[in-house]
Amino acid sequence: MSDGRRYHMALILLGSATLILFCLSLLVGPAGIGFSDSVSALFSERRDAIALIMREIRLPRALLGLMVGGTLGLSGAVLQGYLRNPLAEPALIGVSASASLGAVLAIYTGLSAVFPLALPLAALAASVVAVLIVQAMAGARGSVLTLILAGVAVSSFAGAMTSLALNLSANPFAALEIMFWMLGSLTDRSMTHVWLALPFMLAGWAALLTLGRALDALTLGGDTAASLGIDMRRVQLLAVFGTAASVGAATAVTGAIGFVGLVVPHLLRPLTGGRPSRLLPASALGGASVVLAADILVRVVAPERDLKLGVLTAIVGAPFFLWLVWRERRKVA
Amino acid sequence: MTLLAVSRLSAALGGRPVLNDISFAVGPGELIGLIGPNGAGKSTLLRALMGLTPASGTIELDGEDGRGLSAARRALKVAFMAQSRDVAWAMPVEALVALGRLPHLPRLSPLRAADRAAVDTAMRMMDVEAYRGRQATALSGGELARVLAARALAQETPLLLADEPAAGLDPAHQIGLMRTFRSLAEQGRSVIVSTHDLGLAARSCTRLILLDRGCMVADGTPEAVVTADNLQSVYRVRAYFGEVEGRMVVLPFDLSERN
Repeated sequence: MSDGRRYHMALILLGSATLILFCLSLLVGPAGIGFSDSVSALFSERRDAIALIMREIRLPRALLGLMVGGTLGLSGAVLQGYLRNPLAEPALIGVSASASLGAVLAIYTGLSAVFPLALPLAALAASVVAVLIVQAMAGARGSVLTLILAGVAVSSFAGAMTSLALNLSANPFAALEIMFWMLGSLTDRSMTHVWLALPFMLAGWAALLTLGRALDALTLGGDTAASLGIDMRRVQLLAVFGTAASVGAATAVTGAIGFVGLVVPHLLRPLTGGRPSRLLPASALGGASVVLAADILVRVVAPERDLKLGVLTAIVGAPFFLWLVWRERRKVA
Repeated sequence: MTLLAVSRLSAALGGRPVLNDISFAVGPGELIGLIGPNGAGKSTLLRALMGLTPASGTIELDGEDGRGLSAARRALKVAFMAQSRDVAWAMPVEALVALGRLPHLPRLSPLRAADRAAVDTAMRMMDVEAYRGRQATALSGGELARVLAARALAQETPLLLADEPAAGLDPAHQIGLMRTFRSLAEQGRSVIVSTHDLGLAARSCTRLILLDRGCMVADGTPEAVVTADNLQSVYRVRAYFGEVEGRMVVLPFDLSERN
C-alpha cells in the first residue's frame, strides 16, 4: 500500500502548491502592494485604490488561473484515459479551436467593442456548435477513431475560418487584437468573467469527475470495460460534453493556453500507481498549479511587456514535453 | 435451469454474414469448447453474446433478455476475456486483477475485505501471486494472459466467456488454465472458451461446439464432435486419435488428401 501512500502524499503536495501559488498570485503585481495591506483590503469593506486592485484585478485573475488550470489538467487526464493515448489533449476534440473562432468573430465584427461580454459568449456558443458536430459525427456507437477524426476536421475548419477573419480584417488594430487574444492571457479579466465561466466549468467538472472508474476499466480496452459494466456510450457523452463545457468556458475567457492539458497528466501519471481515476484530482491540482505559476512568472519576468500566458506555457511546455518523450524513448529502448 | 439460451443468432460484419442461425443452451456446470477454423465466427459469437457486436435473434442470460440488460447488470452475470491483451499503461498486477471487482463495488467504494479475498483467490488460481507488485506492461505475453484470466475470474460471475485464453501459454499453464475452468464448472459455474488447440479442448471440455463459416456444424461430447470426418471436412486435416488415462487424445498431423 506504499503505492496509495505515495499518491496521497502527492495529492497533499499538489494541493499545498496550488494554495500557495493562489496566494502568491494575489500578492504579485505592478502595484506593489504590501502583504498585510493586500490581505486586509481583500476582506474589508474599504473602497480605496488598494481594495479596488485586489478585488477587481488580482482576485479574478487568481481565480481564473485556478479554474482554467484545473480545467485543463482535469480534461487532459480524462481525454488521455478515454482515448487510451498519452498524447491526447483537450484541444483534440475541436473545442479550443472553435471557441477561439467564436471569440475572433466577435472581435472581427466589432461586436466585442460594443458589448464586452459578446466575446466570451460567442466563444462559448461556437464551442457548443463544434461539440454538437463532433458528437453527431461520432454517433451513438461512435468509435474513438471517428471522434478523433471529427475533432481534427472541426479544429482545422475553425482554424481556417480564424485565418480567413485575420486575412479579411479591414483594420490592422482588429487584426492585432485578434492575434493578441489568441495568444491566451489572464490579464484584465474581471469577476464578470469568473461568474460567466464558473457554471459551465462546474457542470463540466461534475461530468468529468464521474468517469474515474470507467477510465480505470478502459486501461484494458473498450470491450473489456464494457464487460465490466461500463456503459461506453454514456462515458463518451460525459467525456465529450464535460470537456466541451469546461474547456470551452476556459478558452472563452482566457484564449487558448496550450500544453498544460497535455503535459500535466503525462507528468503526474507515474505518481498514481497506474490508476487513471487517481489521475483526475491530481492532474486538476497540477494544472491549476502550473497555470498559476506561469501567470505569476509572466508578471515577474516582464512586468512592462505584457508577456502572454499562452506564449509562456508553450515556450516552457514544448521543450519539457520533448524531454518527457526522450525519457520515455530511453525507457523503451 | 439454463444460464444462457441462444436462439437463431445471426450476425454480419461489413455486409458479410459471419454467424448464421446459431442456437444452443448452456446449463450450470458446463465447460464448453468453441472450436472451428480461422474465420469460423468463434470471436464474433462470443462478442455477440456480450452485446459487443450487433446480432439478430434472441439471447437469454440467466432468465433475462440479454439485449435489454444494462451493462452493469450483465457484468454481474457474465465475465469476458477479450482476445486483445492490450494494456494501455503501466498498472500493478494486483490493481489490474482488482478491476474484476468493479461490477460488485458500490459507487465510490474502495475494495472491501470480500473483494480482496476474491482477488487473492483469482491470483492463486492463475498462479500469478508472484507478480502481484509488478507492472502489467513489463510481463511476458503468457504471464500477462494469466493475469488477465485472473482479472476475469475475480469477477466471480456464473458464466465466463473467454476468447482464446490459452493462446501463448506454455503447456503447463495451458493445462492449468483448463483445469481451473474445469474446477469452476464443477462448482456449478459455466465457461465457454474458444481455442485452436483441439487436443486440449477434447481432453478438458465437457462439451464442444464446432463452427464452420458461421454455421454450427456439431454440438456434443468431445468424442462426438472431434471425429475424423469433422476434422477432414471442416479443418481439412488428418489427425491421430488415441487415449491416455481414459481421456481422448487428438493430434492433427497432416493436411487432408480429400478436397
